[in-house]
Amino acid sequence: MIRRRLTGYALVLPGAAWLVVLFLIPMYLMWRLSLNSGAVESGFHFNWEWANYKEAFTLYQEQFFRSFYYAGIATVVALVIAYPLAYGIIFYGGRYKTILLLLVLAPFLTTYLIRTLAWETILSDQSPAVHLLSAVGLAPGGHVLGTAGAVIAGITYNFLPFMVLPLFASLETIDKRYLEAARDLYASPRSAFWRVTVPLSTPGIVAGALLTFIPAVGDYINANFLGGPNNRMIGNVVQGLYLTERNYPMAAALSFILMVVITVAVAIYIRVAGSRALMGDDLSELG
Amino acid sequence: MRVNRPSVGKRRQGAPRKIGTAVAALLVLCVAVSACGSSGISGGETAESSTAKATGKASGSLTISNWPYYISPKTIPGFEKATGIKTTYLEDYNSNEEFYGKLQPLLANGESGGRSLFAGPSPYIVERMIRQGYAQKLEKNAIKTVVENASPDITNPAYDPGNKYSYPWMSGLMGIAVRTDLAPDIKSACDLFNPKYKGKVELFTEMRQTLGVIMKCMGVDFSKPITEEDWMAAVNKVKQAKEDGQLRKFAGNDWTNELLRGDVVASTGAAGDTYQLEQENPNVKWVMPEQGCIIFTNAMTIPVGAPNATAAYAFMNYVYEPKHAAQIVEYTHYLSPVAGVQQVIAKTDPELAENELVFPSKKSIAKCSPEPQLSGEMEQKVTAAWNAVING
Repeated sequence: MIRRRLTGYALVLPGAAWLVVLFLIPMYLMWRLSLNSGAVESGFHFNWEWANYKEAFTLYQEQFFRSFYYAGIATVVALVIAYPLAYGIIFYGGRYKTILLLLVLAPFLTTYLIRTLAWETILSDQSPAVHLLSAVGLAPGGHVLGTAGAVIAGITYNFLPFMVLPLFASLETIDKRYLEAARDLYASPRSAFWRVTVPLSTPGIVAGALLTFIPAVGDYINANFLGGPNNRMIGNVVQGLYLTERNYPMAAALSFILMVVITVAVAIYIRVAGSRALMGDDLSELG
Repeated sequence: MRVNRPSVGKRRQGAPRKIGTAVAALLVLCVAVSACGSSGISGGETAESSTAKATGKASGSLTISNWPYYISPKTIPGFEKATGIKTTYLEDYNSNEEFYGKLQPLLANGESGGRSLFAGPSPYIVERMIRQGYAQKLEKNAIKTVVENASPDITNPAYDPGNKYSYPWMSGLMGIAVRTDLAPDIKSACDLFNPKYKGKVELFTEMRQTLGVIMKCMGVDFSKPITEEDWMAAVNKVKQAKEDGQLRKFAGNDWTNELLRGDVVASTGAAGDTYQLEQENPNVKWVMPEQGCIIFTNAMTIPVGAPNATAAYAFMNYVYEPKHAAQIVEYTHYLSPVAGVQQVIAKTDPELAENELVFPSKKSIAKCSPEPQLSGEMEQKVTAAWNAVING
């Protein structure tokens, strides 16, 4: 019995050590830093400066809510794009399934930064794409760059595979006989889709939404290259606070607020939408 | 589809206690390592500054940081050939605050990130580096060429009396860069705020230069001390423009693409940079603002912890040779701090030697002023307001 328990600990040890050294200790340092007062020139001192949190939130709540707003829309749009995509590949891809999935992933072999810069060129004011969008009234003011739309589109594009892959994985495991059974029981294709396929793919939807939303909230590359001065997200603010203002405590406080809010939001989300889906479910509950 | 559900109840038993133990263990570890408390980024007290020692003949390798568009492509190969010093020239100076922000934690620990020479800092950064003990004193014996050839106009500046720590790299005229095909009527910095160009205008993040040019057009008298009201009025003008969607972006050295593409039709811009852009797109032109420009300077300093200061001295001497300085001027069209450059250029390129933007006469820059400086509480207040605009 003791030996079994030791084996358990031994197996957990590398992962735990990794987390302690590379996550918990830096987090602790950052938390301490967030409660420092002072300035670079005169030096920082730890003295429980909770005011950093209050000030960070008051000054930057606009960017804060904007980040959640952009990330939320991007997640929904990514789901709307990714679901039919994954569904199409799985149910109609046939023997090209793997190749099609590889094609979806192919652009992501290039780095994130380069892809975003490519979008900056594609969406520049003189580009044919923007002329087209202008012509159909989708680019008021004659430009797309420097607008909320460009940032949201960039985030959606950049995080799409994080949505496609979990959906693909969960759709692929669906036993097609359930769908045949549904048809046999006089379900229309539409109701078979909504009452069998979608519920069975919820783990993919939940996981995909989390994997897209969480990094999207903290993203700053898209807002930096595709947005304007009025589209800055919380990541840009943290970067600016750290690099140009050198207000390390406030940058740390802001990061902490972000982390806590995301953790709470995700916890609620999993509790409400996801726990059953993530833990697996039995068909009897599909109603 | 049945997946084993983890037995939640069992798993949770005793968990809080274990977490408590883990946290306690972590704290003990922290105390033991004692790294957690004192973060390595405390800036700290003004340190006694050291002197960069020159030892023997220059050799080995050298790393320099500078702004992009600020050197001739011939300079580094020429220097390497003349001295045998392997040189890495980094164009990683995107903005004063950003560069300083990246290097400051290293400098605080007495390291320079492998760099032997900074050629990019603006006067206020040089001043700050001196105050913090991050700049090393120069050994005048090791830079005889520099001392000899430095133009008298630029020696002994207020930010570094007696040039104990620094010598200018180059200076420039800050005004407006305009796409003459897209915005032909921009003549002053205040025209950047014309609603006709909504969403097509760019401003630099460099506070002293950008606000300087704007204060000029707002009619601030630079011959008197500039008041906080003047600074704040300019900040508010920019803030308003940002809120109105007038500005495409606040840029560091990443300002050029938008202008070349035409996404931006006008921007604050330095004459030298703009000249180089004009070579790529002849529609990009530098405009001297009607109310005058701002003259900025960037200075060479040897940071603390600089490896191979001897090689840095050799480089300073090299670029202060009039013929080498002329090479840089020919390519960049910036203002050289080296005496005798105009004469060298007059022989090879008489037209350039007459160019008022490269060798400005007193008359042509009569309305221009040096980059305005700030200090103390006023600096903190204006900087905070400016940061809130560009970072908010």
